[in-house]
Amino acid sequence: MQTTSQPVDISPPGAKAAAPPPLKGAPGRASWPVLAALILPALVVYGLFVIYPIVQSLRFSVYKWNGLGPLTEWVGLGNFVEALSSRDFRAAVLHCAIIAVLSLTLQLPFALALATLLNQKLAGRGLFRTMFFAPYVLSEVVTGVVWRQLLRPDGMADRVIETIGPLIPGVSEEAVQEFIRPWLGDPAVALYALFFVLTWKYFGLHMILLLAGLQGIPSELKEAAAIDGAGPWQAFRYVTLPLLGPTIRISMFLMTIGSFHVFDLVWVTTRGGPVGATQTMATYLIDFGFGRNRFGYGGAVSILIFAISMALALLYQRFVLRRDVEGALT
Amino acid sequence: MAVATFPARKILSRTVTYVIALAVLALILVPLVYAVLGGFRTTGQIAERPVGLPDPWIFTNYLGTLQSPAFWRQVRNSTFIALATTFLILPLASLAAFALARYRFRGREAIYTFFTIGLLFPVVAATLPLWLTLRDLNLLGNPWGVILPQVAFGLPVSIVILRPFFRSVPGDLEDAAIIDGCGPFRFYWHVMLPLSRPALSTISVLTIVGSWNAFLLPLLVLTRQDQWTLPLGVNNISTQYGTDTALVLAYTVLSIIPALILYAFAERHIVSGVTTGAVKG
Amino acid sequence: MRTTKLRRLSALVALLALVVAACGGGGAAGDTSTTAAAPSDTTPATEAPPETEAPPATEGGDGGEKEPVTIEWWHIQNQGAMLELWETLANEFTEMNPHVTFDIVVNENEAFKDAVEPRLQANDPPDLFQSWGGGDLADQVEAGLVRDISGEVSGWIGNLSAGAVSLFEVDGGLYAVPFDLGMVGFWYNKVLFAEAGIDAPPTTWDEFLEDVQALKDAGITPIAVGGQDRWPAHFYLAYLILRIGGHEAIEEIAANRDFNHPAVIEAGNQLQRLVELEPFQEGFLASTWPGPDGEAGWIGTGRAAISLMGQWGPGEYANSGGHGEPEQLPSERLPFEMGWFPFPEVEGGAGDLNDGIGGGNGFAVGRDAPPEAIEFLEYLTSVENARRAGETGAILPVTKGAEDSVTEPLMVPLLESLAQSEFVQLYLDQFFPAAVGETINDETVKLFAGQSTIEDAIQAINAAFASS
Repeated sequence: MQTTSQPVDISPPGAKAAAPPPLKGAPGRASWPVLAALILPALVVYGLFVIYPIVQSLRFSVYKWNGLGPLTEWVGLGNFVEALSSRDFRAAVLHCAIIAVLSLTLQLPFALALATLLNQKLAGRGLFRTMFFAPYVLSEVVTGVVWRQLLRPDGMADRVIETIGPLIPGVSEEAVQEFIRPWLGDPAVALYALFFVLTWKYFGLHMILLLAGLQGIPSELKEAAAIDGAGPWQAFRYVTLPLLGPTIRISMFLMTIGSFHVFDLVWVTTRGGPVGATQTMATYLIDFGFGRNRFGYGGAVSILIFAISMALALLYQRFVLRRDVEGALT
Repeated sequence: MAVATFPARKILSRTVTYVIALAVLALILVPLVYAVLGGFRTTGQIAERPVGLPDPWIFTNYLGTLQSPAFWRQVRNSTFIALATTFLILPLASLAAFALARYRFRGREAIYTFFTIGLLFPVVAATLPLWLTLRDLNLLGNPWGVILPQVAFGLPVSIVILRPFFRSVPGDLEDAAIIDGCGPFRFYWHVMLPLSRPALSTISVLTIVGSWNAFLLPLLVLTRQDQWTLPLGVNNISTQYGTDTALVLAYTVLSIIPALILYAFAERHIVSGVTTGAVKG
Repeated sequence: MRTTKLRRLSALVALLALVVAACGGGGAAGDTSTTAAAPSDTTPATEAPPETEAPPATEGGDGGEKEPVTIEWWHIQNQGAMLELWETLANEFTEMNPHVTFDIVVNENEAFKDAVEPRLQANDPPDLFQSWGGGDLADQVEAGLVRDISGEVSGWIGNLSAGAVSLFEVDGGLYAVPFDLGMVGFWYNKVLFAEAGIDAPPTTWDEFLEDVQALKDAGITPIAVGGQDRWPAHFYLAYLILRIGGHEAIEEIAANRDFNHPAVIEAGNQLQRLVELEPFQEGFLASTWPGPDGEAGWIGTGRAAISLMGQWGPGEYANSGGHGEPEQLPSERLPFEMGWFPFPEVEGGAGDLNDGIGGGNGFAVGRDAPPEAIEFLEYLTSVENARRAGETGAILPVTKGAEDSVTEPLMVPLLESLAQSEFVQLYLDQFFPAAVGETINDETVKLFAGQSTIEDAIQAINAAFASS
């Protein structure tokens, strides 16, 4: 499973929890051997490939270790100190945070607007939905490779901007030329270009989630609001939005966590460059830990990524999702 | 809609709606169409006019890829890994979820929590220690070194999806089954699995898509090029033959066809997997 | 690792031996660039055939029932004439030794590093793989991934330039066999220089900066550099340090493991002057070395005038520019005339104009490689085959007697400069341990991007020293 599947993966439990299934089924009793036969296979695989490595990384994060030979050179918290004081790592954390903030402020409203749009009776609605969601099914590698071609200097994106730009009232051709730059080559804009590609790939997921949420809102409520004299905007603001709250919060959670885990698309599109302008925590880990044979240091960075993810998840849990998510951590 | 009484405004808002929808549609389609058409052009054509139709149409990029043994080997490897992951995840997750849903025993919630913790562990961050574990187990350069971790990281979400499904099966059904002399395994096999088919399909489809698109783990584990999966092949060809844009695009386009076919047939499952809960919410 | 540092330095000094080899070669290539092949083919032939044909012959004689062997061979000559030549050599070797088959894995430079790294970390090295010697090779030796072949090759390694061979020695053992050795310098487009009114290549850094400005004023992109791959940028910093502080500076840096050296700071200041001219191609930070948008593509299509690169430059300019047929020499393929000049002197600097940053290409031998892999290396570096490589114009062979096979006229000034150099410093990113080398590359590109100062760079590089 990749970072991408994460969003898909987490949503059902959270969402499901919003409508708790009948917990009082009739949980019966079974003998220990039977239980063991049922649970142990999963537990062993999970323990061996998820839990054990993570515990291991705690161990070697306090060593200087090139991945070969025994752990001998104990450095205490030196690796953690180095990571936290490294400009590159701090920049990587910052980039993740920027992607998260942009996702929440731009991608989410965009997805919500499209979901609202597709919630109307619209010819070809099914086709629109299918197509909008399609990028989510494409692999990050494909997305990255294709967009890298599109965003090349003098590539398709530039030509499109050159064509469309001057059509906007008040925009001169010079202004358009001024605006065009090497999207993935200019450190000042590369992160935003990348965010654009990320949005292209992922907005469909959030649109689908929100659309499902919208469809779950009884139309009588909006009709009632209309009868009470509310305009469409007011109906949306005071009826739809609050009722959509749980879904929106799930989307926010997925976006935030996803932003801090993004790897594949960045690696393929920019490899964290130019000059580290799009380095994320995950690309930093692979570049500086794995790529430079610094496994002890990489272990420390892994732990830091866990810690940050965990802290975010718990904060969300505590302040935002409390009412909605019953499952994830309890 | 509230504006239903104002036909003029309605027409206007309709128009705006379509314009927006079509604009977004264009945004989605243009890159894909560009890639598909690019494969029919030469790199020279693309360099000269980034926007344009093939002139003349070149088929060598697609045909060459389709005749390349490496491409088909990658298709086979991707398929094998995706299917093996799915066929392992289904029994492991459903058996565990079944026990966690239907039986009362000490430590049940602790075990469930233990599984759900995995949801918070990003694969990327776990990759480095995981890679070391795989090395110790001699699973590097081995497709099972990708399959088993994918199963392990897929388990939490599958269990979390399945447990409520299993729970929602009425207890009467189980009582009846027990009276009929049905043991836990037969109950699981003959009652639970058929009833939870939608959830199982969803898990399968999500697993297959996730595995098909996986990049980082195969990148680090599949050290021999004859074991490579399609994403590795696409990435390599784009680094390797960056010079040959048209070839890169052709290879890329062909690599996504299986995923698109799966999407066309299983869109319902993918979408429902993503939204089941939200609809209820 | 620490112990190998000084030794590696001495290996570099031993590159001096190359001077001897290159003197003859350079001269010959210069004088008889078109006819050199004919007469010289016969001269080495007297010593070559016994060397090259002998092992296969005895193999065959021993009776054909040999255990089938597969040699896994990773190289980076992924385009043009060298790709074909390597394949041909493998086929010929298989013909002579039917029990040997090859599993050839060809990757572009960066793709190779990506692909080979997991293999090495997985403790599963290929039988033969591209190596640049230096810190990476020392790391591989320390990890036990490569084999000391000094005994196995003792019969014929003397046929190769001792300076080149020394690049691949670690602690007295030999772990790879070189096939190419050269030096980094400025390749430039003579047509664009003429357009900008520059009639002679610059010999001082100030002149160089003036020429860059002149090119810019003429509306020409002065310099192409592969900022994404980073190492092409590091050549600038490395050369400036060498020109300003001389080889003594680099020796001191290596000995003290301390980049905080006056020569480095001054090099940073001089680099700053270049960067301030904004001389690089659009989007250079996202440019790779090869490829149409890469450094080589910008040069190969005549869109930029100057590229600081090694002896492999012209071949790749032609490839990335999409010119000609691989069988032709780079100079024949390129539609415009190019030239070469050494990195200019910096006023008041201690370094000599002909000292260089350079290095070689070789094939490291994996720990478990079959003996046939070594025999193949012998075949590959035999005079006859080294000459075939030299004739492509993409490689400067290191086998004695093959130097004059380089008929590519573009190589003449490079070979002449190499012949006069008293010191050739291995590329800094390869010279130092891998983690330090990577950091040098990272930090240089930050300087190119104007995002950092030389003081920041020194601090980061010293941190890498401390952690490695």
